[in-house]
Amino acid sequence: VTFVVLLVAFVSCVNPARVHCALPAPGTRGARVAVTAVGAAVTLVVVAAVAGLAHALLDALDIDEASARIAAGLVLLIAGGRDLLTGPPAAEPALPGWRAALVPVAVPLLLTPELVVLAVAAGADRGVAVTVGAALLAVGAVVGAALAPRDLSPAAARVRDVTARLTAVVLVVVAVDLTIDGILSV
Amino acid sequence: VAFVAVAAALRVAVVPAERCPEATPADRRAAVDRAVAWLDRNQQPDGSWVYSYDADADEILGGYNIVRHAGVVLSLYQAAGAGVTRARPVADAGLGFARGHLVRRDGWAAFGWPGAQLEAGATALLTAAVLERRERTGRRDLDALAQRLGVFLVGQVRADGAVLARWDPDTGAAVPDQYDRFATGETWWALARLHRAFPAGGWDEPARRVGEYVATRRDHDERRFPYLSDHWSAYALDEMARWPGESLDDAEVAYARRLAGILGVQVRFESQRRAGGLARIVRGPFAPGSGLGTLGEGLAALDRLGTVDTRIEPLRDPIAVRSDCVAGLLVERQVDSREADARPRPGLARGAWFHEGVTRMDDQQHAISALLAIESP
Repeated sequence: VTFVVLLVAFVSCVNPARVHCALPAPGTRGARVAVTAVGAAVTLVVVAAVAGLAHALLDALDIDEASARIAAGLVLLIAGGRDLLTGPPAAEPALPGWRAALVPVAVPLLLTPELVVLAVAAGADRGVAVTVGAALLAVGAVVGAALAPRDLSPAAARVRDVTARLTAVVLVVVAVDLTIDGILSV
Repeated sequence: VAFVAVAAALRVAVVPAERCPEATPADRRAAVDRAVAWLDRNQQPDGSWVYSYDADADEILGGYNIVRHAGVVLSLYQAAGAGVTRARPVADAGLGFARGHLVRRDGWAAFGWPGAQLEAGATALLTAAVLERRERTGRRDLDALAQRLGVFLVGQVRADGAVLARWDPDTGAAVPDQYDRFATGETWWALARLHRAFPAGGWDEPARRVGEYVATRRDHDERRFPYLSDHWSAYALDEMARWPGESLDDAEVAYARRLAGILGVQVRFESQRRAGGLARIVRGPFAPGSGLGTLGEGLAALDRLGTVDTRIEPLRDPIAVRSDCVAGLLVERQVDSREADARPRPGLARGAWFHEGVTRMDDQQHAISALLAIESP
């Protein structure tokens, strides 16, 4: 799996446009961006750890790397279908202060089952550095989304929702690609 | 909750544990010996074999398939060539049966039942068996027969490379628009082998035609989806790559890669199967010995191809992992003496592979071919 495919997979998996409206709004824009950035960093640490342990995990479970890609593809496919058919998530109750970076930013918005499964497959296939590189750009895009205020004008909100659904379509496409790659790998 | 649910669903339905038993070269050779012994014990006086046996019902099932007969003869000559001395007389007797069922016309010969439609697959595999015998023993006494069989095969190849599966004695022509999953690859391989044995015979042109068709259009034109897992075409690719001064074209290399993937995922799937429990429900029963054997044959052929084609060489390591898995599964699933003694007729069980209580002669055939090929790529 190429870096570009992994990058597209991670970005569409976290779907910055979709999670935008569920990010916490702790007062100022700077605070919102800071909390989101910390949550993104936490997510990145977990992705790095999962990717680093991917080989050991798959070995322990007697799962081949190619089979892991099939699993990741199928989970992303379901997630993409969900993102495509359902509206954006509602704003989650947030822990107070900086702890909002953990809940809801890291969990449940960014650290989803599909992101973890993708990290396992990517880590086993391409290693920690490539996986973290792709994930870094993806969560960075979420931090970028946090720059925009949560309450958008109707027109801007419409653009955001369309972008979220288009991203979901991309996730479906990349999920199919991952699945086929897993199937046709020796 | 979501994490646990996703993990559980994946484990049960998508990625059950893959298990590949170890099998040493000695284990594999012993399994081949036992399978050859099965074919020896269960050969009829006319050279045919017990076709199929249901151990649960203790019943020898009727019917006979001459395509599979030719395949068994081929595998026995492969075994004889690999040093299994017991295989040679059994193969010769099987070849005798085939020579007693030849239809000859207009300079060609075909293996089939008198008066019935002739199957290209049977003649193709008989051709391969005769050439295997030639290559392993150096005997040239059946060269004329091999080439007459080849003439029949060439007549089944259409201008676009598709292979018509049958020939009708009533019309005196190939049956139009009838294709077979495996006859195409079998014919391709037979023609490719004929070219190597008889370079001046003009067998290369029809072989190339079939190869181009298989590599670029067969699955589409014959509406084969999922893509065909065709071990015979893997044999043919390896054979063509060994033609002096020749190499595969890009389409054939791409097809070889795709075929390796198809065979590989099937091995992974098979290694997820279990005799019981949840995996039995989700993944179904073990594949027949024949099916599992064909995966090993195909992978071993592509591994050999990787030794002569640098474009396939990078696949050799993963192919070896899958091939070893096939060998381990075959050795583990073969009925040993202790298990056979618990059956009503141990001689029909010992050394065989059973699927849902039934063994068929080609279970032994494909397992022999696979184990030999994996043993010595």
